[in-house]
Amino acid sequence: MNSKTVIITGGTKGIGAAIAEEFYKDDYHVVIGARHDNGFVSSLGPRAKFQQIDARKENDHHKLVTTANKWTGRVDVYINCAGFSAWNPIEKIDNRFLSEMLDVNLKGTFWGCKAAARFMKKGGSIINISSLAGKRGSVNNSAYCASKFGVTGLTQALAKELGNKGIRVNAVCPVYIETPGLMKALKSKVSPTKGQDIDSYFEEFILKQSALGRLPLASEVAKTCLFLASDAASVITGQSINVDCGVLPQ
Amino acid sequence: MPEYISKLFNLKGKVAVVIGGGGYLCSEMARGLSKAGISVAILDKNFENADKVSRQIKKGGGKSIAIEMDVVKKESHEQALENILKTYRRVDVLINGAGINVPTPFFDITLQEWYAILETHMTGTFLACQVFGKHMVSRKKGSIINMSSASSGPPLSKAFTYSVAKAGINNLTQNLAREWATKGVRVNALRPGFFPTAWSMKHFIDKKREAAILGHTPMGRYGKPEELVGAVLWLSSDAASFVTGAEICVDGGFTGMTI
Repeated sequence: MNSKTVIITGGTKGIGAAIAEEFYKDDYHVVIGARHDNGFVSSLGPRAKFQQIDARKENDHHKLVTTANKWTGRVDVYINCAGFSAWNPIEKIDNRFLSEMLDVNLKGTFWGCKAAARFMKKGGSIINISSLAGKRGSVNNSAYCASKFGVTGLTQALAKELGNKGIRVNAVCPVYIETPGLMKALKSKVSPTKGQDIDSYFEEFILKQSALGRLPLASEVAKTCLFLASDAASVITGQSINVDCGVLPQ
Repeated sequence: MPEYISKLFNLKGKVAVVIGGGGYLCSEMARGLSKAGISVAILDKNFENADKVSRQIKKGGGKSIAIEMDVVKKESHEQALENILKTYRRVDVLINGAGINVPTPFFDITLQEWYAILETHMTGTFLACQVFGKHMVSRKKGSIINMSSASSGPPLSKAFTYSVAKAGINNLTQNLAREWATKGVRVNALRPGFFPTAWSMKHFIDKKREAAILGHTPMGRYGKPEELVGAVLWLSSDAASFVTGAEICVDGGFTGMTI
């Protein structure tokens, strides 16, 4: 088979699902790893496959690569999207909270990169879904920011390390994307909404910070990933690209 | 009292999509929605008409955008949804009001005309429910209002294909209402009586037909477009939180009478 193949962790909902849709539309074979099958993958079509994984486990990432190899013989793109947001003030952060955050957001991304690097050929592209929280800190966000700054460091280091194999490594940093996961996290009193109406918070945020007067859609994050996976991005590596309507111009 | 009403209806800040919003009845519904504090996306095959309504709304202090769309093309719905999400971030209300009608005698109806009428009404509603309905189900909230008709059953003379289409829309309305009832999305049909445009008066309604219509309408008159707005606001709102799969008559009593 000569079919370009993408592996997406956390690809059954939210940003990951939007990425899966975009790559599927671009004729990729799509392997999606997540904890639960919610029916989304089969709704995409015959070029999409679901595999149950726990992104915190290194071996589950190697299993995704094996699945892709058996199916098409290729892994062209590996997208580490499994992750979550949660705000918490430092005094409330215990080992359990911090470990959960780092295990999924940071270590999950590490293992995805390792599995991809082992199998990918020249021209391969690893894309880590990071966040503006990987570029600047914010209140009650220490654990999440630590995990995403870690992803930035990982991205840069591996870009240098895997460059001689022709594998590019980049990160995408979105600002608020309205997914069910984010909406849930923003209900918290310690989140930036302070437990108040999320719509009013977004409107004020947009007014004060968004150059383009709106927030990005998940599909727009996905299109940036498609670009980074493509030949058009053949000399882009080690970068953390903001998909943020101009909220953080750096 | 006013605060009780606004809490009951809870419409402020919502986003409505009116497909066919450049038309006679739908433009009035769109204006009514905007006066209730709702941002309105006006979608129509005729961009000029959509834009005209949108500008009227903005002039009145409301929020609105106009988008050109072809209801029989799924990509057109998808593109419209993406543009609306970029501006308003979500869709709370969808009104499926697009569709054509022609008074062709039955034996003269061409296959092309048959398909065209069925497509604009039924397929247009089907595609919108697929695309916008999916968005609403993912947010676990929304209200869809499909346009039925006093002709949806039993059908009116002269409107053969149109009546078939409206019957189909009623059926789909009930099915989707059942399907999405536990997913926070309500689906209802609005059944207007007679609100003739100048075009209808010229092409459909002669003196004999007018007598038949008004004689079968207990209120003895035609409806005014603004008389649909109340039902639309109610169905769109939390005041109708337990209403789904219903066909709501706004017809001066037409449906309820015989002789």
